[in-house]
Amino acid sequence: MLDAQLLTRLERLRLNPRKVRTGLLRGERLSKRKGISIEFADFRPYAIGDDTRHLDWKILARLDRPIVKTYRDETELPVYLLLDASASMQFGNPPKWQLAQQLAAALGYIALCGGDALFPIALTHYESHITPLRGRAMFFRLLSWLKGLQPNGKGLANGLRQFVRADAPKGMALLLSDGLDAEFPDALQQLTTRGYEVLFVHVLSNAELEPSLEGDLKLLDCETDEPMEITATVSVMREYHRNLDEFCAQLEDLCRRAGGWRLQVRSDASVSDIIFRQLRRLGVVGLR
Amino acid sequence: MLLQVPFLLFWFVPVAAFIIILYLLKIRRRPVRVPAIFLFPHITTDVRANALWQRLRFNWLMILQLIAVLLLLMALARPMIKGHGIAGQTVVFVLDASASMKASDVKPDRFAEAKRRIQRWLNDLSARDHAALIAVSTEPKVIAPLSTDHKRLMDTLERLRATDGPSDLGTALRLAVALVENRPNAQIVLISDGAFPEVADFSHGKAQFTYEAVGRSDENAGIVTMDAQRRGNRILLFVALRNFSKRTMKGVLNWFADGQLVNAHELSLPAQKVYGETLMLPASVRQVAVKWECSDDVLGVDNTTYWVGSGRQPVRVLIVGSGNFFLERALALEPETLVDKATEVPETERGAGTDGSYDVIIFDGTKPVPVKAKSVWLIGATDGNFVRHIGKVNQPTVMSWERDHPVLRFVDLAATLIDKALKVQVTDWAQVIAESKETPLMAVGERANKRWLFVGFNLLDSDFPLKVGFPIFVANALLWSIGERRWQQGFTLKAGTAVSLTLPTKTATLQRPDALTLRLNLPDQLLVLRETNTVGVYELRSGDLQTQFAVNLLNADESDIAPKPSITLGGRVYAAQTKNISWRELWRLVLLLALIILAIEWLVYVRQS
Repeated sequence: MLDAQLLTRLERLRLNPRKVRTGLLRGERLSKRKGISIEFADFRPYAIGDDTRHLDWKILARLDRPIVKTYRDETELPVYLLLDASASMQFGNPPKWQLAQQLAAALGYIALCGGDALFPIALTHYESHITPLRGRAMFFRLLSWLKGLQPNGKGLANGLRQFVRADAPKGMALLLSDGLDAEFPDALQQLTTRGYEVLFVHVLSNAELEPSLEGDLKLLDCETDEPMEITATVSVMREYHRNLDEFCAQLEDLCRRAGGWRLQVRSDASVSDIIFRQLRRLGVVGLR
Repeated sequence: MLLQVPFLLFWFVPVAAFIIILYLLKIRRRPVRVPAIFLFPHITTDVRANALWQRLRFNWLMILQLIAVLLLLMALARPMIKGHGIAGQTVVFVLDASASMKASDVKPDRFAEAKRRIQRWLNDLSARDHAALIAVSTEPKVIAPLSTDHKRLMDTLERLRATDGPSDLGTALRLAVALVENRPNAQIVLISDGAFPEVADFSHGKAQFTYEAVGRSDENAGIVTMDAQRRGNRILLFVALRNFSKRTMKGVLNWFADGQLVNAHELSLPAQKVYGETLMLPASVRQVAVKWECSDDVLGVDNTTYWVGSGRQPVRVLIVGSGNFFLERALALEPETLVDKATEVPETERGAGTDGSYDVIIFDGTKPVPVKAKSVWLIGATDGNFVRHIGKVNQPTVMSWERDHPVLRFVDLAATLIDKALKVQVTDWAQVIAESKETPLMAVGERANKRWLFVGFNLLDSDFPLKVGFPIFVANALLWSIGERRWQQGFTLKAGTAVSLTLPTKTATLQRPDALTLRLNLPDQLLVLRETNTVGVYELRSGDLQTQFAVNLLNADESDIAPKPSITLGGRVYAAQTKNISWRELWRLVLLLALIILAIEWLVYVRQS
């Protein structure tokens, strides 16, 4: 999915949320602060990759359960990798899903390398409890999760709403989707107004940007099988493009108003170009 | 506007219904999966996926297609619009060129007016229309055959002149029908003043027939009869003048003998009345002209009549027998030949000698008796002297004949079929000029100034009278019988009558009344003159011999120039067209409109797609 050279380059990057959270420390910074009295915050189950110095040995001996102590100054950045696995992601040449997977892997790797807690979420296969991934070593889990997903779901907007309703701790929401759901703008607005810092990578393909349709057609929605009969004349296609532009503009406006980012990419674009040029230009990612 | 095939428009209903049904049916659409349909504009919102029919909506394509179908059906229905002028794909103009068309009641004359109308109608024709011109006179002719070269027809029309003769309209019309046979949208236009006898046998078939009347006035009095009789050493001439108009005509009747005025008087001729007058002149008078002068008379060709004589007796022929149509007819062709018929010879003509009143006595199948005629013909008869009957021969074949003998010159007896003939012996002073293996078939002889001619079979027992050479044989025999004096006689005939003369030489000069001189080369020395359509005196010279003959109209049908509002042809009455109503086809225009609509429909479809 990602070659070694790209991974090496990605290790030098980190996510740059716009909002500076008071008292928030990066995961990396924790490792540098030794000998500083840190106020105990909470217990949490041990996850692979956690620093074993913070294991509560007493609980481990007593209950035979690895529990880790958390401290106030150790709060990492939750990064929610919201991946659209709906059926519409199959369209395009190359398919949008392919780019979305690669971007998810790349951004996820950046987050893991940066010590962020990565929550991989498939919006169309939403699960209420997501185990975060931490540390570079968890990258393989991310990859296997990605490979295990198939773009055959439906209900993008519903999945997004479910995430918002779950009221997860605020962090960065990396939304990788084509947004092709009539209720998606509404769901996106809910996301952006809930305090999440949203990066919406809007993946579109030639199937949406340059559809080759003509004649008398019976359109079937790939997710709902809803039919629509049209005669693909010049005026009809002109109307379609107008609707698409308005839709994209609406999504752009929603993200911008909320202080987030929207980046529209084509499915045939390269991951490195998106990461190293476009996202860096936006300031979403930066060098460590 | 009218439609030639209106029932075709009924097809619009099923065709239009078919088109509308196509729009009612749901279009079979190709299913296509798309990422999101909400981005596509809603075109049809009330269509259920499983319905066969859909609601009929206003659609410009459907409207244009219906209009195109309607126009196509209209074009097939052959719409026509009333217009003025002559229209048609094929038009034959039958122009009356007879004497009555010279009437000057229409300036300059009726014939010129008729030509002017034809020229105007030719201009109305389209470049692809075919037109022809037939001139009607004694012998109708196709002056210009069917063609699209209208200019050439115009030029030919311009050179055409009216004749002084009557018209054979029946032949001309049948000729016109033959020209347009099987041609679509054909029209025959007769331009005439109606001054012709009723035509019994005529049908214009599928062609449209139009009678265009020319002429306004009936003011004409013309000489309809002229005759001359020998009275001793004087000639009694008789003329009849008839007033064809509805009012009294006043004028002067003049008599000229050899160019000198010998009689003239005023005459008031009541309407529709005939006036006859006679005049006795010396037999030595060569030429007599009678002229009617009247300022109100609009037709001049029948105002003058001529008589030409030599002062001598005409050739008188007596046929003794039960009657022979072919022989009588052949003799009638000979000008200045008076033919009498009798079942037996009058007493005054019996006897020896040649001082009888008949030049030729023909015993046609009857027993001959001695006669005083200058020449005796024995046809199927023997007298026991010149020819002696010895038997009969069945189906003799003509083996040989004297081609150079004057009687048989230019007569071909080769294929003559004879059922039975008399087997004879001719006298020693006779010359056999035609014979079979068994017996002489024809012989001539002369003795004591009397010429004898023998034909050994009854003419009706052979096909000889049906041969082309038969009238030549009769003419030759007559000429041989009377000798060269024949040539010095003048004769009179009616305009348009054909005349045949055997000339003494192979060349001749004919001077016509219009001063036109024709030089004739006649290898067979036979002059057959058909162009006698000019009234007046003709002069014919051949070698040392010279003769004159007069041509007169003497035709009441032509002199009756009253305009005919209708004519009867083939038992059907045709009224004269007062207006030149024509029907012009519009199918081309309608078809063009249909094509334009189809082009617009295609443009709309391309724009929408």
